[in-house]
Amino acid sequence: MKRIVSLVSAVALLVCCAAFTSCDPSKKADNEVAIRSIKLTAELNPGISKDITGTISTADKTMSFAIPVSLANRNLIPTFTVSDNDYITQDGNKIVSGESTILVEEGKSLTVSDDVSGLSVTYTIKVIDNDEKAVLNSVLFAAADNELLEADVVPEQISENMLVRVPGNAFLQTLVISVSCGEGDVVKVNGSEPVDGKLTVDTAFPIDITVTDEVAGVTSKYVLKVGKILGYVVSKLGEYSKPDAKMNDYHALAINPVDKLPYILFTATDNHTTKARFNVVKWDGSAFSLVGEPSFSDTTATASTPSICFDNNGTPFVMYKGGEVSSFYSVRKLEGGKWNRVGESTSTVKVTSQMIDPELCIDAKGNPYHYFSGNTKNTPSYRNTTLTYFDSNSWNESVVSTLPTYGSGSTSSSGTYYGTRFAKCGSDTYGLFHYNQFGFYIMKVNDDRSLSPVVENYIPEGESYALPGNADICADDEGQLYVLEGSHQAGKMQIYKIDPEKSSVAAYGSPIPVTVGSSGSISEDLVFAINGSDKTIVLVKGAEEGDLDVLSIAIGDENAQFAEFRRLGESSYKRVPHLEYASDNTFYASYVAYNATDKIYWIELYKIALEEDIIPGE
Amino acid sequence: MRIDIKKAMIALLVLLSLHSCEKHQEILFDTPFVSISDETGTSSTMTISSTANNLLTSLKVDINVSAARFTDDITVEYEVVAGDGLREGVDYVIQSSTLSPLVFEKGTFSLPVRLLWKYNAGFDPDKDNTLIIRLKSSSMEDMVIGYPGPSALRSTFIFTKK
Repeated sequence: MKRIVSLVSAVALLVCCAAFTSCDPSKKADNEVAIRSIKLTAELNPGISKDITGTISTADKTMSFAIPVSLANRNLIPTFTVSDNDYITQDGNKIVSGESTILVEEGKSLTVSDDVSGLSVTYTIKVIDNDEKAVLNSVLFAAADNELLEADVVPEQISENMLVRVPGNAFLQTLVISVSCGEGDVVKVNGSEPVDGKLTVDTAFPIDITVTDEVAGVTSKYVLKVGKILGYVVSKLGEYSKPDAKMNDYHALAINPVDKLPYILFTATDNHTTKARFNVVKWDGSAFSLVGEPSFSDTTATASTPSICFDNNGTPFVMYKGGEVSSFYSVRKLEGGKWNRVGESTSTVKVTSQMIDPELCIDAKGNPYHYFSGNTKNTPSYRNTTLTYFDSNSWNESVVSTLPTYGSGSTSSSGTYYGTRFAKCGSDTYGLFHYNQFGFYIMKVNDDRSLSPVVENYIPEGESYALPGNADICADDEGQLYVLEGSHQAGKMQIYKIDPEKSSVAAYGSPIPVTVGSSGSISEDLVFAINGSDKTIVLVKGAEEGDLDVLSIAIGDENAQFAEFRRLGESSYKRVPHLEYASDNTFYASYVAYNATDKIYWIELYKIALEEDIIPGE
Repeated sequence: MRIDIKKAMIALLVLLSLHSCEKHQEILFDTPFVSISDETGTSSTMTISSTANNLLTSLKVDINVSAARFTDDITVEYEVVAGDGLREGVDYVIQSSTLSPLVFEKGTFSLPVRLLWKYNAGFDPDKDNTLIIRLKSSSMEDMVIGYPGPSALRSTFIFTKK
């Protein structure tokens, strides 16, 4: 029995000794309880594609993890380091780094305890949802950061390949770019992390932007190119004067809808004739070339008041007063290189000299028509808007009853027809009509050449009627109409924008100051045209300048503000200049130049086109 | 007996051909390599007009390595050798972010090297006006410079200004 007691005592002693030994007297309290680091590695957690490092806030006692939203199983194995003698528990269970799992959910906690000092601290888990996307949110060249910019420059949308345009002075320069990305994402510009989202870049090169979601292991790549805001450049294409002939002062310009080239109808008196005759030349891209036979109009009467237009197939038609019959209009069409007459004279009576020269139009069937007022008293067309059209066999005329008629206003001469300008808008044709003592009318020309009102009797503010001088109409590609009208009271010309659907009229862009003569009419000549695509409006204005009558040109900005008129050509001009939009951001302007000393005329042709586009990397 | 020999020969040939195909594939897919070419990946040379100004040219450096081995960033170094007729900053500028070394982060297999060519009024056509971009080294030890093979095609790109 003694032996047994001794044995038990010995065992008890050994156990006590062992217990004392395990208490390890070398352990010293560090008076610290802290978790140094914690992460969820992809290696230990198959649902994670890249290591997730927890962010520990000792101040808030929080531990934050960016967890992919698609990760269903949030029981994850952490790898952590703690201060001396510390261990971690969750829900009372001791966690072994790299072995045990913890539940990583919002609001769960982890407790760090020091088994020597007995200190402990509890951290609350915060879960940041990771969208698993690497998203570039914004790109900006801020005016505030770039003295070369007057306004912020941003791409139209964020996409893999982006383009922004800056003014010429900032083109190819070094600029400060600002970028922002999704939460938790890292953005780099040209391989460098921006400071406060900003970095200086050389815009002569494409800018590489990468956004990385490190948690999801996803990277999105973007390339931003910086181009120049293109401006319109005016260039002189050439001068034309007919060999062995004396050029005269009438001309007209039109763009062939098929070859997009400018065609010019002009008068010249050949050496062997006494009366001016008509010719057509076109600019073929590098030189003028004669279209059809030369001097095709007759010499019974001097030809004047020209108009040129095309059918949908690009066949040119011309109309002029005189030539074959004095005071009557003739129409010719180019067929097989010959300018053949289309019927006889376009009216049964002599026509007036309207304040707006008649324009020839072609209907959908390829038949020509125009409007005129007659000059024979006691006939229906006398001073009235009269349509005349060719119906494959002959010219037919009818007075338009839906517009003001002669004597219909307050005085006997009010309602006198002043003339019409036309604009093509897609397949539709609109006419701008003017009458003595009335406002302007915009009418849609129907397929049967009947007229439907769009705007009726619109009188510019402060005026008592609309002025026909310089009046013109254009259309953009979105079906909006633009009308140039004068205000003699205000001494200005103004462009109005018209929505045909709403019949609304609104002043558009800056007014153009003009001089009002003693007769109340505007002294300057003005023509305008619009690029239907980018809505750029070009104006050409003619005015006296010393001994010369000179032309100047202005190009409107995106708000149709005309800041500056620049001289177009060096010579005096005669009669009204012409300006037409062709295609591909190209306008053509032409005028008859005049040397008063030698009494010589010639035609000058100009191109107004967007400068060449240079985008780094393209 | 004759027929049997023929059959045996055909079988042997088939076996031999299959064997060689397998070996070829092994080289193609398992040998990591880095190459340089124009943007279309079709040429190793380009001529630059001496009248060009602010002409941007873009080359691409491609690494061909299996995802299994692409576990860390791969750094590729290249050198620029300009002939005596060309001066950096005068005739050409390399976009700073595409200067050597190029760091291919995991998942990136192609990086650009962009050069902006400038007009130089003092251009001398009689001098050496070539600019060579030559791949030099890779942080991946067994990565071949240029296409695998004795010619090491696509290891250099040569611009010539004329």
